[in-house]
Amino acid sequence: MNSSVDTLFENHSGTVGEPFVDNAKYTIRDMQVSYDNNVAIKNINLDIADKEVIALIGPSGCGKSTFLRSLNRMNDTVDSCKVTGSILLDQQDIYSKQQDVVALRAKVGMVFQKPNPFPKSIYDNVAYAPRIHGIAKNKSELDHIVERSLKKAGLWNEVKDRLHGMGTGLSGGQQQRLCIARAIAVSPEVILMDEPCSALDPIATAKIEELIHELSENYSIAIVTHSMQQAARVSSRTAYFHLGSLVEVNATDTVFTNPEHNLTEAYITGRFG
Amino acid sequence: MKKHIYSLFDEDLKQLQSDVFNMGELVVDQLATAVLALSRADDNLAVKIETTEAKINALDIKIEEACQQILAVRQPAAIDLRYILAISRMAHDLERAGDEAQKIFSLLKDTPEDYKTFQSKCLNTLSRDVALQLKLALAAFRDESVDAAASVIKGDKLVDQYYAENIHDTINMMQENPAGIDVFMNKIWALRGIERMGDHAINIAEQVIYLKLGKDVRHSSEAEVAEILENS
Repeated sequence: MNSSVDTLFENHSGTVGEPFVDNAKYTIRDMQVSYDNNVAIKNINLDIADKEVIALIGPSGCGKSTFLRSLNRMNDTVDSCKVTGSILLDQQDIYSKQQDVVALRAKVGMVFQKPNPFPKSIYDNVAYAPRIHGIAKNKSELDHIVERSLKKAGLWNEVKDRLHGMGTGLSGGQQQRLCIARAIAVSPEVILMDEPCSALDPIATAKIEELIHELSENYSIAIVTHSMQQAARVSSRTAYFHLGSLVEVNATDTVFTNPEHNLTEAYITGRFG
Repeated sequence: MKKHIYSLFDEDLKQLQSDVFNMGELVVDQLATAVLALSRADDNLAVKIETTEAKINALDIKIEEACQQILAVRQPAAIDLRYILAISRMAHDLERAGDEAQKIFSLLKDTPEDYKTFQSKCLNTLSRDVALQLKLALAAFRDESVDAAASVIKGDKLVDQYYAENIHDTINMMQENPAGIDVFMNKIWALRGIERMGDHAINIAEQVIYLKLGKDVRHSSEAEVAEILENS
C-alpha cells in the first residue's frame, strides 16, 4: 500500500458514516479476528439490516473476506483463528457454545468466488442440503424445493430439461447460479457472497447482479467485491475496510459520489499520489 | 487533487480543464466584442463574432465528448465523478453565455442607425462587471476555492442591482420618448443578455461548490447556500 495512504490511516480514529441501523439482522460490536498473534480485523462495529444488500469493499488484505467468513463461522476450521467481540444474528450470539454451527450455516448461506458445485447432478446439488437438514418430507416436496430454488436463482428455464446432468457441466455463470440455488434451497435468511462474479464474464455477471437485486426482497445479502461499479450497482450501503479497520459505512450513493473519509475517496478514485 | 494511479486519466482531466478555461476566455472576449460592436455600430466585427462563436461551440462539443469518453472508459467516482459532471455543466453554461453575447451583437442588425443608444455607459459597466464575474468563477474553479465561488455568488447581487437600476432608467426614457421605444427595447435586451451571462457565472461558481463539497446548490436560496457553506 502506498505510504501516503498509510500516513492517512494513522490519523484514522473510528468508523465514519452510518454503521448502525434500526432493523438490524446482524449486530456486530467490537469484533476482532486474529490468526495466531496477527490481528486481521479490529474494532469492527456494524449492523447489517434485514433485507439489505451491503457491499464490503477495500484493498486486498484489508480483512473484508475475514469479516464475511466470520459471519457464519467459516473460520472455525482454521485452528489459529480467534474471534472476539460480539456477533449477534437476530440478537443471538452466533459464537455462543449453544450455537449449532450447522443450523447457523443453513440460516446463513455462502457463495464463493469460484463456483464450486458438487460433482453431482444439478438436481442433487440443490437437493443436498434439504436432504441433510430433513427439510423435505417426501420426493415430491424435494422436487418442489429444487424447482423453487432454481427458479429463484434464475436458472430453471436453462436446466429444467437436464436436471440429472452434472452440475459441473454447466457454464461458469450457470454454476454460480446453481451455487446460489443450493444456498437458498434451505431457506436461509442471510446470503454471504465473496466476490461471486470475479470469475464470470459481463453477461453472467449481469445475471448474478440482477439475481442479487431480486433476492434482496427476501434475504439480507453481504457481498465482498473488488468491482467498484458492482458495489455501486447492487448495494444500498457500502462498507469500506482498510488495513483491518472499518473506515466508513454509508449509503452507497454517498460513498460513490461524496465519501466522508479521505481513505475511502483515495480508494474508490484511485488517487493516492 | 492527489495524483491518480492512471496518469493518463490526470492528463485527460488537465486537457478538459484547459479547454474549459479557453472556452471561458472566448466567452469573455465575445462579450467585450459584442458590446464594442454595438457602441460603434461596427458590423465588421461580425466576422470575429462568428469565428469566436464557432470556436466556443466546437469546444463545447469537444468537452462533452471527452466527458462521455471518460465516463464510459474510466467510470469515475467521488471527486472525479463530480469533476466530470461539473466540467460538463460549466461548458454548457459557457456555451449559453456565448449565445447571449452573440444575441447582443445581433441587436445591431435591427438598429444600426441608432447605435448611439448603445454608447451608454451602463452597457460597458455591466459587461465589465459580468466579465469579471465570469473570470472570478473560472478562477474559483481553477483554485478549487469554495470561498471564491461564494464571493462570485454574492457578487451577482451587485450585478442584479445595477441591471435593475438601468432597466428602470431605460423605461423612464421610453416614457419620455415613446417614438424611440424600439431602440430602447433593444437596449433593454442588451442589458438583459449581459445580466443573463452573469447568471451563468453564478452557475459556474455553484459547480465549484458541488465539486469541493458534493453539495448541489443549483436551486438553493442564498440563505440555504450560506448554511451549506457554514456547515461544511
